[in-house]
Amino acid sequence: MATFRDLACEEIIKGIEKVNPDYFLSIPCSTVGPVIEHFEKSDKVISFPVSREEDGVGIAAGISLGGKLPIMLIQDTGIGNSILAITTFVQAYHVPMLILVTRRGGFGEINSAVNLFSEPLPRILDDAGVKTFKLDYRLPLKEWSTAITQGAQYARDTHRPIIVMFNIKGGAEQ
Amino acid sequence: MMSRFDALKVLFKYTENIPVISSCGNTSREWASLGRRDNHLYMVDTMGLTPSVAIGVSMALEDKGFKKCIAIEGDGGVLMNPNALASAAYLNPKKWLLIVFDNECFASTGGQCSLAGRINIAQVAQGFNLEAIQVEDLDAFEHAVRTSIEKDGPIVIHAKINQENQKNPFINDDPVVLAHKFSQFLTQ
Repeated sequence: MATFRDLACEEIIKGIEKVNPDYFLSIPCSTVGPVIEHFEKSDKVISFPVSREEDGVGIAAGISLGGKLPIMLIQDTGIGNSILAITTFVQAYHVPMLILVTRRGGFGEINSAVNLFSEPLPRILDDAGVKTFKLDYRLPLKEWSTAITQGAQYARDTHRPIIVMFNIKGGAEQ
Repeated sequence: MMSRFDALKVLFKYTENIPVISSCGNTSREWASLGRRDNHLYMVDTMGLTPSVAIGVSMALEDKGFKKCIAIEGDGGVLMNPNALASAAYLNPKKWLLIVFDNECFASTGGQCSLAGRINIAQVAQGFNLEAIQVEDLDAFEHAVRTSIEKDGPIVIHAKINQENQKNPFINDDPVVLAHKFSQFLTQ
């Protein structure tokens, strides 16, 4: 039987394919492993890993400035590695960019330290003025792909980085 | 040893139609003082990100007529984000040319020592399997710029410079305008 995670990954893939990006940048993450593996095999999108999220944000911003469409998929801890680039470059220079973020921490998290960043992260992003949409069990899975396409469009229409963050472990709000 | 300003004057001659992204601080100020152009993107903050942005631009421009996308970064910035060297090595962007001005210090903040006094950045780049050209005088710098523009990258020019700084006004432009001009230049 398919798990919540399996179904969520299918919806995330569907959403990204509907956006039809030119480039897909990612940092490995076990929870969205199927998404990364899918785009690594895709012949429609150029997929590549980045070594650190800050570098990835810079590369994606350059792609966007050059008129092509990137999507980056990272863990929420990666926002900690890239928030200066997101705010003082992408946001300050009005570079449209969709960043997909998987949630760490919360129920189901076994790491004993990551919660210290992941739990306050939504407040950090709010204080930094980085617009973030959160997807979890409260939004029916069949709506997730639409949320991703709307996030990409909203980034273009409002000329800024948009984060779409999802909790695919299921369970209570983090 | 050459100054950054003299080297920038040389670079200015060869880059009228080449996108150039310059790092924050004195580098962008000196670069802008030579003449503002829409093919310039001046970074006003985010130290170390310039080479990464140039990788993305280089990739987006692969099927366009621009010969290169040039990133100008200092030794402090490169050592703050050496990840860009890893990405350049992995992605192999043919139009990416990184010029590292290495004065072994953080000149924009008062000349405090950087780590580059004990690290050879050209060798670091070579360690990432990148082609690296090390130059210490203006003639060699000019030759490296001219030849690098004409050949496939990725290439790193590691230019040792003195610690001289020109006095120039801060770049306090609205970054939105800076990005808009640059992006229009790239995509027109």
